[in-house]
Amino acid sequence: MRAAALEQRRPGAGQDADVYAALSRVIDPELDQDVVELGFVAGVEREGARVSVELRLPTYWCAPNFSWLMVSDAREALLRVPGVDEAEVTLIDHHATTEISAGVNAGRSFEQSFPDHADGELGELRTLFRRKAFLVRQGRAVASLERERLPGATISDLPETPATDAYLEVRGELGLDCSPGAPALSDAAGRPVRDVEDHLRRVRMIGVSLEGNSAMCRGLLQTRYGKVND
Amino acid sequence: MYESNGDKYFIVDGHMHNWDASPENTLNEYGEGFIKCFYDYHANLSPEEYVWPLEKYRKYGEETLMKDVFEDGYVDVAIFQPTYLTDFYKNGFNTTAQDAPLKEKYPDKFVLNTSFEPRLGKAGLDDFEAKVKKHGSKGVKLYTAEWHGESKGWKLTDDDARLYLDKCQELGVTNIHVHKGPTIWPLNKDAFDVADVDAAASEYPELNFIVEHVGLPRLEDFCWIGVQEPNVYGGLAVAMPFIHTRPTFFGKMMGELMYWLGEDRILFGSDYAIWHPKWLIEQFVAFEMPDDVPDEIGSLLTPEAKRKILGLNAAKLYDLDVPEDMQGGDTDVGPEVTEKPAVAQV
Repeated sequence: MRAAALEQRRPGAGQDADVYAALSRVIDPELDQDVVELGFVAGVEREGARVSVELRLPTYWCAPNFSWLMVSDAREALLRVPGVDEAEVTLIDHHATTEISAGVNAGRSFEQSFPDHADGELGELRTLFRRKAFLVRQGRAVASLERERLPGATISDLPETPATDAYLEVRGELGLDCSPGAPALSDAAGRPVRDVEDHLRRVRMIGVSLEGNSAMCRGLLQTRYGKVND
Repeated sequence: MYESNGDKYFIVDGHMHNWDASPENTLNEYGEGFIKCFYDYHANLSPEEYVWPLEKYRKYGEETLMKDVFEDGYVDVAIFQPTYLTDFYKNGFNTTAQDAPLKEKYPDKFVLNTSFEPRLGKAGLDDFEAKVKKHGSKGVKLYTAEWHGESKGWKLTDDDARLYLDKCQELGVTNIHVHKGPTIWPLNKDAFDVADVDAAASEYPELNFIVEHVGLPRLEDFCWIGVQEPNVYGGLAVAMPFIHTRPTFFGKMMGELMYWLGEDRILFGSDYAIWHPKWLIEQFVAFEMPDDVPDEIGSLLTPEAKRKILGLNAAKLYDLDVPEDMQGGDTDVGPEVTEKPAVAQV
């Protein structure tokens, strides 16, 4: 851990604004929230075309697979920032920090970095959690619609809200129909919902789970590192 | 026993520890990382006046434990759930052997669970049987993310795990407490997934599977298997302290648990010394559902449900004697177990 880096700049300052904007597109797959908002960015250093970022997580034992996804997504996001040629992302204070940081920065795959403990890559895991996020976002998008209207509701019936935008974004990511006439409710594979009440109960429950995990992670991060930025 | 407004509650703490994470017992950085992570859970979710200094938290000993749990904490019977972690701690973090002296000294106050290590294969079966017989254990606590040499975890559906579950059935070890953790092989899959508990619960209908921490961080997966398997239970350790910091979330979570599993299959646990049972019990009995919890689920956590959760459910699983004036009324009022849904979970 490089303690000095923790004291580095805060979001929004000068050329770091690009870097933070890029990092704010990096999502914690389990929480469906971005790493900047969550306070996972511990430090940013930029020198010309080279940028290094430190990421920190709520616990020493956060699951290595999700940790890997955030570190590797962060590196990719940084390499897309105009003017950045070289990006290094280091995960600090974590039991698998060596495997993850070294693996990601050397461009190795997950399986190459954990040869004895993985039997594939993380695409399936990522999709599973995008699907959970899809359902939760769907629940938020339809929350203000009257129940009676839901069975036949289409995308065009959704209110113009940030919740609807967020839902359509993940719908698009999953390759589902986002046209105005498409049904507003579907399962994560795009199949129509037969029993609306049952579907909404399940969506509600996943939402409760996400809410709890988010509360736990944010609380633990704060206990571990003190009050989170901004 | 806890008494409030003339009502008496029989209290079984379904999940507690007597651990040793002193510097002398800590083997490596992973052991140090483990206790510090535990400490953050404690510090984050406890009321301020209950937060200990880290040094006390590493090893608190008999006197503190007896006072906190039984004298101040209202607990009638406490269930030791061992967590071995012998790759991280010289004598283990909290083994059955470490807990045994307290059980011998206070036989009526403790239930002593043990554990098995499936990665020892057949070679470990005799030792496991000897431990069960020596301590009279009726339950095991399994931490599937525990490291063992090169292995970083295991599943209940592994062939070696089946050997031990068969043995549990043979020996009358009927309560299988399962705690999911982050490092189960293969690492590219979701290690918190409780699907293996689902499979084991179907395969071993005579055993009870108590998913610790109600499956957190996968409450949704847990509720889905709970609704399908009548022998799946949920332990509230770690979930309970949200009552203090996030009462609305706590209310919603309890509502979901009542809706999907019902009041007969949820067990109180403090996870002492992570949390002190005293404030958990006081706040739980006094808890009123926040207004923003939907009625469909918010109305289900009745006083009778609380009574069952705090002790009667665990008393049933472990054949504990409940004094007459603390016994509950109706039993088996939970929802019907349903067929597995035709559509995949997500």
